[in-house]
Amino acid sequence: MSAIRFEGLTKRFGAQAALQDVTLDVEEGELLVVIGRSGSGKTTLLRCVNALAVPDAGRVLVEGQPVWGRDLSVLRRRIGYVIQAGGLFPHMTVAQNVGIIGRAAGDTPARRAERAGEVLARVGLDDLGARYPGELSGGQRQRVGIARALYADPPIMLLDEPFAALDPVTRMELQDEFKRLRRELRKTMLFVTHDVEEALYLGDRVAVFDGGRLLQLDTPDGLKKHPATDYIARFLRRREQEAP
Amino acid sequence: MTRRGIPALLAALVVALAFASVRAAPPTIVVASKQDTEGQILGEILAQLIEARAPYSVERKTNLGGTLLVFQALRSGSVDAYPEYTGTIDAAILHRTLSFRGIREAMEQRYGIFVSDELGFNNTYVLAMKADTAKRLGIRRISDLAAHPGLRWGVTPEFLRRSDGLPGLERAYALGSVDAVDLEKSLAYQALARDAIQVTDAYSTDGQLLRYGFVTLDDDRHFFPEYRALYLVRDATLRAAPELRGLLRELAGTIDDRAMTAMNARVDIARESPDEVAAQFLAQHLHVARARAADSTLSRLLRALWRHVELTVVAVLFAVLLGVPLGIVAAANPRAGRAIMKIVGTLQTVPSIALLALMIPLFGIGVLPAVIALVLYGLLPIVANTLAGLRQIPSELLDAAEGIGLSARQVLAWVQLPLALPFIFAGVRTSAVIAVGTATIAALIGAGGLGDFILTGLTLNDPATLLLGAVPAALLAIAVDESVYRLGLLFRPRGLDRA
Repeated sequence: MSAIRFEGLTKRFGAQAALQDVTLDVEEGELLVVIGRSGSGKTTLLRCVNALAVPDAGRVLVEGQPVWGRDLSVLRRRIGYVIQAGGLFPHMTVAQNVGIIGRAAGDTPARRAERAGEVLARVGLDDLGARYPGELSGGQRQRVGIARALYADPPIMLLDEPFAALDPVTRMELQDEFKRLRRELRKTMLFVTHDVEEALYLGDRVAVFDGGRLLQLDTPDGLKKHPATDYIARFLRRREQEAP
Repeated sequence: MTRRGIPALLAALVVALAFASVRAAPPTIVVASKQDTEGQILGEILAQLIEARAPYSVERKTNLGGTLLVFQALRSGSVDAYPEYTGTIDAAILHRTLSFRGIREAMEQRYGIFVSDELGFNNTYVLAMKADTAKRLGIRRISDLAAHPGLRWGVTPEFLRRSDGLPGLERAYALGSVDAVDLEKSLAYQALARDAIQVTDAYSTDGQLLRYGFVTLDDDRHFFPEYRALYLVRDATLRAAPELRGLLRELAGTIDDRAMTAMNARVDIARESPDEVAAQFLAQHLHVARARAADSTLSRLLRALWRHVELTVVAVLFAVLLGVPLGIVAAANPRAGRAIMKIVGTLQTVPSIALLALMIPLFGIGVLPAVIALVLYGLLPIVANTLAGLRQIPSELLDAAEGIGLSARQVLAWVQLPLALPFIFAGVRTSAVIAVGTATIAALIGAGGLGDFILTGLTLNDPATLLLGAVPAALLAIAVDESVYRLGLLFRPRGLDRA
């Protein structure tokens, strides 16, 4: 059983098709990167997993169960969610941000503080629990966002361009750290990016999207050796030219 | 105190204050009057007589805005007694002309209201002229005017158009079409004194007539209806307070035209208070010793100020309790939102005096209708700002909140409301300042507050009394504005200013 299964998923926004008949399996424990341009449908794909978007046709199975018809709060607590710039609540401290899922689930304040400390330590921010998001750097905020997603130790994580808003140096640092973290955690991850380099560096497999269609699904090496279409080849070539 | 404790305590305070302010009136006799000088003096005379001679306490509402309003209040039981005129009862209440006996029977049967014996004077329309002009032209009666078509008349707009005013008068006395301009009353007196006009309309007991030394012309064809003063009292009140009947009988026939005119003049011209004038009248004519010393102006002012604060605070708290949920509904549901904003916006456009008047048939007079009107007035800024505060929250934050598994209620309570709070407080600030201002008008329906001073000042044309109400009201508005601002800072979520 795959961790996440997309079956014939179609989603339109007005006349615009965001997803067209997408079928895709994310295996348990793998990090699948979804790459594509703006408007390729990659973020919509992600939002269908935690039911923020409702597909027009097809279905999504999480751990073998269809997403729709389940208690969404319970489902979402089994799926860590990280968005660009962290999506932190500015009026809550770092510890409160991280512990909010525990608060929703009824954890005691002591338990929340303990668990927040653990996950903040995992992302290297042990001392910042009492700060407010506005007092943090972009990289720190993004780490807090990841820590928050880890709070409930979910088997699945969704990451929507988590590093896109960061400066290049910080981004590289976080990518390295993320890779290390992932080796420790072994969770199923669906990671959306528009950065080819990031996709090839982090992904176990890479799914290339354009115009709401899945163009190719392969390992980074396979993708480099056998680009399925011109579009993918161009996508990759550009990267080689830019590389030092 | 925990953070959770503060809102709970505030809520308890709201409820307690609300009940304290709108509680039922104590079993006392509510003596009312309209806003004019004469009404206030007559109201005071009855009030002080009851206080001196009967075992009842008295509550005064001597600033009510108009016949229909006071009469409604009397019918509904918010008021027990007030001075009225036979002509007004005919024209505005019974809508037909009756003898005194007829009025008494009709009021009894139709409304269960007792009509006291007449006090003596007749405050009707009269025509006034300068004494020397009248003497020179030999004019003593209205019919004498027919021989002097060249005279210029300056009359109030009401008199100019009412059928029982100038048009009727012209017919009754065959005056032809007189040369008349409409003038506000105090301007007409000045114009008459300077001979810019030669004839004006007046009320027969107007104290200003004495001040200027104008003469009044005899209504020899009895055109003007009689406006004989008396008191209207609820039958139910007479049953509960039987000694009242004897007191009313004692007042019968005690005040003639001259006496009433003199008393009005003492208030309007000599600037004595209706209170003192009434006390002296009772001492001279009925040998009534003052039951209680008049309150000092300071203590009355402080009471009015406190009442004003109560009205404002209670109204704003209820406006928040009603407005914030409406704003939340409006933000969640665009269709409902448009409807809510339309209704709340329309409420704001109803003139405050009209809104207050609309409250009377529904809620009587006093604090309750005033608070309800103030709440309705204060809604718009609170609803609009709650809506704006909720709409300005970045959608990705709401996505994050929903996506990590918070329920809709948790998103609202933990994310949306805290982030909208600074906006909501800005709305509360506007609403509170509006409430302070509007509450001054609430005196018209007997809610008290600083408006009592302002209305009295306006009625008696007394700037000092007017300022006594207006200046504290303005200062109160500034203080309320500042307090809500500071309260907003206190409740402003920490973290919002740290970037």
